[in-house]
Formats: sequence, structure tokens, C-alpha cells
Amino acid sequence: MIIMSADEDILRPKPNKINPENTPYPAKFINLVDGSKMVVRQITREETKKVIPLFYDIVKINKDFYDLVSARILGELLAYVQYRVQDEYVLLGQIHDTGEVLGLVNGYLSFNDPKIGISYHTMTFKRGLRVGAHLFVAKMEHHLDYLQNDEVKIVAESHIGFRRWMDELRLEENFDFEHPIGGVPSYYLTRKNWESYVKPERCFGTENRPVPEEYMKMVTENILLPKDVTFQITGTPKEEFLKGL
Amino acid sequence: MTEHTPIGYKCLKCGKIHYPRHGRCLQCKNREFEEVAVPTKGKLVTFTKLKAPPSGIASRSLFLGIIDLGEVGYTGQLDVENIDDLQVGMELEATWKQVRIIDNRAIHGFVWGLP
Amino acid sequence: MRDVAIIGVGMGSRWGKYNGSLIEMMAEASLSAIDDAGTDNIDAVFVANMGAGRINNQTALGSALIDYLNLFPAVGASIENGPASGATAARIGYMAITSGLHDVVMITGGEKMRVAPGPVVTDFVATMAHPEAEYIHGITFPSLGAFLARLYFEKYGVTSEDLARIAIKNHQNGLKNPHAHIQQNITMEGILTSREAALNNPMIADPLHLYDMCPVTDGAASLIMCSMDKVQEFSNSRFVKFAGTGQGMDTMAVHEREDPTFLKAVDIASNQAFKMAGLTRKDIDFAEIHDAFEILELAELESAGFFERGKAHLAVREGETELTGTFPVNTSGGLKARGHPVGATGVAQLCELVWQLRGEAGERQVLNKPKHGYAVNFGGFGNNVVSTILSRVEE
Repeated sequence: MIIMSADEDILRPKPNKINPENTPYPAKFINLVDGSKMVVRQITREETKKVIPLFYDIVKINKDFYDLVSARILGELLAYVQYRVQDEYVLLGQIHDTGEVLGLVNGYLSFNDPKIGISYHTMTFKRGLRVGAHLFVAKMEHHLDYLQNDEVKIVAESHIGFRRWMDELRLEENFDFEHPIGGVPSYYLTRKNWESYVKPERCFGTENRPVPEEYMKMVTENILLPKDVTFQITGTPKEEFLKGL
Repeated sequence: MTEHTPIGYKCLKCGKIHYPRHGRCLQCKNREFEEVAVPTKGKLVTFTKLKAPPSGIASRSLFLGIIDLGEVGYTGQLDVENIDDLQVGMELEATWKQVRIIDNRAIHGFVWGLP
Repeated sequence: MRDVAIIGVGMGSRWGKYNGSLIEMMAEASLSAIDDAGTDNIDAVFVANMGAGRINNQTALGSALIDYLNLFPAVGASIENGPASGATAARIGYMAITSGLHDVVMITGGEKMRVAPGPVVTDFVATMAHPEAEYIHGITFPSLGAFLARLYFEKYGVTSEDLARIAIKNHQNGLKNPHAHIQQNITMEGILTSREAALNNPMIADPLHLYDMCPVTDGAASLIMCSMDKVQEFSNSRFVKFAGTGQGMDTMAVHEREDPTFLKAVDIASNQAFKMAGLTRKDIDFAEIHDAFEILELAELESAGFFERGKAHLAVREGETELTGTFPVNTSGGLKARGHPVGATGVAQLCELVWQLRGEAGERQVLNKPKHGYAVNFGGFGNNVVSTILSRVEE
């Protein structure tokens, strides 16, 4: 057992009263256009440490808000591995037979009301496969079907995110809520909208549970970070992209 | 852009009816026409449900089709709730309605629905 | 009348999103064609472009390209004929040479479309539709593609699987084309038969899905044409013959056509090109077809006379149009995978024919030394079509 200092004990979040165990997200897989299967699963703090270095490169990409969003995710992941956010979780999307990381979503629960889920961020490292659309909905699934939330609060930094989530998922305005990500008006996904539209029409891969053992073995043993993530995101190799800044 | 009015143009020489307007008859190249009413009943030739319609159309999706009016055809919006309400060959009837806003101006045209 | 050869082709860097200006992009393609031809001794430049005046705030591109590349004293002009601008410019180049007015002509097509959000680009393309009878009702090009597809589904039993097969084939070819915008494998399961296909490949204009349509692309392509009696002046012997060109028209409003499943302009343009080349359909070894929508690959192949009406999809099912099939179609990846920068497409199709005829198409090379290639460049929604036939010159 780890002995904690008194300070550390105060600084760490305590289990919430409604769902103290934070029901873990059961892994699933989703068929992508290119025939690969994306395993979506919750990762541990130890695994999160392996993903963090990926963001050192992405913070330099001043395109489609990748710099801003990745800087924030970096902070959120560091806070997660060092126990500084209430009920935080991280979901990863990985290719089933290589372990390549395609995208990441994260969020946490409101300290005041653990029935309220708060969406942090969605980021994809490979474009054109609809990874973000699938992962964002998996995050909503986690909040509403597993973490026992009644609603999820959402804001967007990027235009792409705004069009995808607010518009495509028909999210409702929740302008009075002060979302921690920023001062912009926030939106929310209600249980009603989840059950009537988003879950039946936009949530995929739910029948692909449990994930075959060999897929799970591959993705847990190989958290393969995308090779030149700058190229994947911008279409320009890293050196050339940085030259243009 | 002039406001659309669904007027047919009947060639004074050969009698061919045109919609839209042409400067010379598509059949005999004559230049004189008389205005005739475009029929308001027809049969659906083909159709689509367009997601993300262009600017100036408020709805999330738009039903569009080509309607066979006998001597002329019409391309326009369809007033239905669901794509399953549509079938090639079905009878439709036109109503005069606003179809789009272009450069802050309301544009009207025939919108086709079930009789 | 003197014959015309194509002595150089080039497409610059990979298509997709171009970071520089439109002129820089066209210059890159032009220089690659000049280097390929081994001469910059050009008399005239015709630039094919559809919408720079509207989406890039630049006009008079012929003057701009000559100025930027110091091609003086070459003269030039811009040619706008919608998405058929490219092959139209090549056709005008042919006229310029056969008339005796010029000996060497450069044709460069380019379009920088990814400067504006998707809806703005869709609206820009829709300005080709009939302004009173189509455009004002909200008609976009995907909706015209959908009209045609539904008629094909009803009349000939074509299915969504057939369209997906064409898209998969063209993506496969695109994976072998270093210039292609989209270099991604797609599978039937991923885009159509799995449950998640509903999100991976959403319906855009029923019955057309996202993967039944070409992407929005920046790109340029260039070729150098030369009078056949002058080709000996250049050291480059890898020239091909500009064997046939044809152009056909149809009514602007689709609803005024007698049979909307028959692309009359493709028929007219093809017959002219074959007559001029003195060839028959059977002589053609491979083709580049203007698949802005995958349904058009079927309709154009039929209207051009390569397959009976309503039968092309059966050939697709048999694999005849695959790279290794009896009649490979869109070896470049077509508009679906190479991309469709509207003004550039017709020129890029001819680049592909040249590479194939010279045996330089790499991994996507058509086998058995093809002799004759055919291209159709489709303008408007089929109201203005240019067909071209290029032939290998026997050594």
C-alpha cells in the first residue's frame, strides 16, 4: 500500500457517492471504411503515460485548433495520471491488428453533481476514417450507459468539432452552464436525445462485445503511436510543416 | 437573377411547349412564343433526399425530383415527410410556395406534394 | 491537316490540399510537363479553369501563368467550360496546331477548391445548373447524380453494391497512383454492409452515399502538344498521337432531355472522336471516365458505346473494368480517388493516357502494351462533353 502524505490526500479526488467505482467502459470494436477494426477501450493511468509523448508534437500544429486542443489534452492527461481531476477517464481508439492509436477522447464527472458528465476533448490522429465521429459517441455512451450520468456537457474549440457534435448530433443549447473548457456557450446531450436519436442512429460497435482476446492482447501490448503524426494530421511532413511556421 | 415564374412557352410555329424559356424553339428554331400555363399535375420521374441542402434553404434535408407534366418537365422540391412516401411514377400536384432565399430575396416556385 | 502529338505531361506534387497559390500550383504542374517534354519553346498556353474568378478572386490565368513562369513571348488565354474545361483546352490546343497558327502549345488545368467550406464549393459547382429551372430550387450536383442513379436502379437493376464496387476499384487504383488525392483502401464491409457503414459512408443524396462521389480537391495537370512534323526537333521520342477529339452538347436542364438515362452529349462526342481517329470501340485498350459520381462511370461507358445500355454494371461485377480486367477503367483512380479539381480533371485524364501508352504507369500499368486510350471529360451535368483518343506511335 502506498503511503500518502496528508497534503496529497487532500489534493486527490475522492470517490463520488453515486457510482464510486466509476463503472469501467467495456471495450468494443468498430468497422472502419478501410476494413480495419478500431478497438475502443478505456486505458489505465500507466497506459496513459505511454500516450502523453504523442502530444509533444501535436501542440506545434497550428491548424484546425490542434495546438490549442492538444495543449489542453496534455494538461488533462497529466492531471489524470497524477490524480488531479474528479472521476477522469480516457478512451483510446486503436487498430485491432497493429495497436496503432487512431484517436483519443476523455472526460470527467462534475464534483458537485456526479450525475452530470463533462466532456473534455476528442482528437484524431488519422483523418478521413470518421474516427472522431465514432469515438465521440463512444464517450457519450460511457457517460450515459456506464457512468450513470443523466446528461453530458459539451463545448467545442474547433469549427470541425462544432459542426460534428452540436449540429450532427442535434445537441441542445445549455448556455447557462459554465463549462470548464472555456467561456463559450455550452451544449448538452440529454438522456432523452441519447435514447431517441444518438444511441440508435449514431452509436456503433455495441454488438461487437466482448472484443476477441487476440485483439485485446494486440492493443494492450502495442500502444503504437502514429508514425509522423504531423503528416497524418496536416498532410505535410513534420520538418516541412515546422519550416512553414 | 429574375424571379422564377413557372410559365411555359409554346412555339407559335410548331407548337412545342418549353419550360424553361429558350430564345429559339428547341424543335424548329422559331423565335416567337406564347405564354401558356405550366400544368400543376404530373408524374414523378426520379427523386432524391438531399442532406445538407445549399444556403438559403432552412430545413436539414430537402426532397427534390423531376416531374413529368406531359409536354414539359419540371425540376423542383417535393413536399413529403419521408423518402418512403415517394415512388417513381406517382401522381403529384403543385403548390406555389417560397422555395429558397437567394441574396436576401425570397424565391418562389412550384412545390410538389401528394394530390 | 497536320497531326498533333503530346510530347510531355506532368501533374506536379500529389493532389489534395495545396498550400501555395493557384498560380504556383499550376506552375509546378507546368514545369513538370516542360521537363518531361524537354523543351520550353512554347508558342501558346491555354489554361483550363472553372472558378478562380469566384473562389480564388483571380481571373486571366493564361496571362498570369505566362508571366509567372516567364514563358514570354508565348501567348495565352483561359478556357472555361465547367468541369470539361481541361479536355476543351486540349481540343483548342489541337485546333491551334492543326490550323498552323502555333507549333507548340502548353495546356495547363488547375483548380484550387479547398479554400472555401464544403457548402460554398457545392454552391459554386451548382452555378452550372440551369439558373431558373434548377438552381433556385436547391438543385446541387449530388442531387442530379442521385436522380440519374435512381433511374438506373429502377430501370436496369443497378444497386448500391455496384456503385460501391466501382468506388472500391477506383480507390485500389488510386493507391497505386502517387498523384492521387485519396490513397486509402476501402472495403464493402466498411462502406456498405456493416452497421457502422451508416456513419462511415452516410447517405448524402439518396441513393448516393459519400463514397459514391468524388472528393473536393486542389490540383493541377499540364501537357505539351506539338505538331507531329516538328517532334523531331525535340530530343524526346516518347510522344503519343492526339488521335481524336469530339465534343457534344445536350440541353442544360436535365428535365428537358427525352431520356435522362442516356447521355446524348457523350454519344456525340465519342462518335466524333472515333471517326476522327479511324478507330472502333474494340480498338480501345483502357479508358479514363469522368466519375464525379460513380453512377456516371456506368452511364458514360454505355453512352460512349463501350457497353450495351444497362449492361455496364454487369461488366463491373465480372471485374472487366479492373486494372487486370479486359477493359481497365480509371487506372488513375478516376475522379473518385485522384480527385476532381474541376478545371484540371480533363488534363489529368490525358496525362494518365499518356503514361499508360508510354508504359510508364508503374504499379498501375495496363498490361500488354496498350495502343489506344480513351477519355471522357463531362461538363455541366452532361450538357457539354469532350471525348479524346490518344494513340501510341509505333516505333
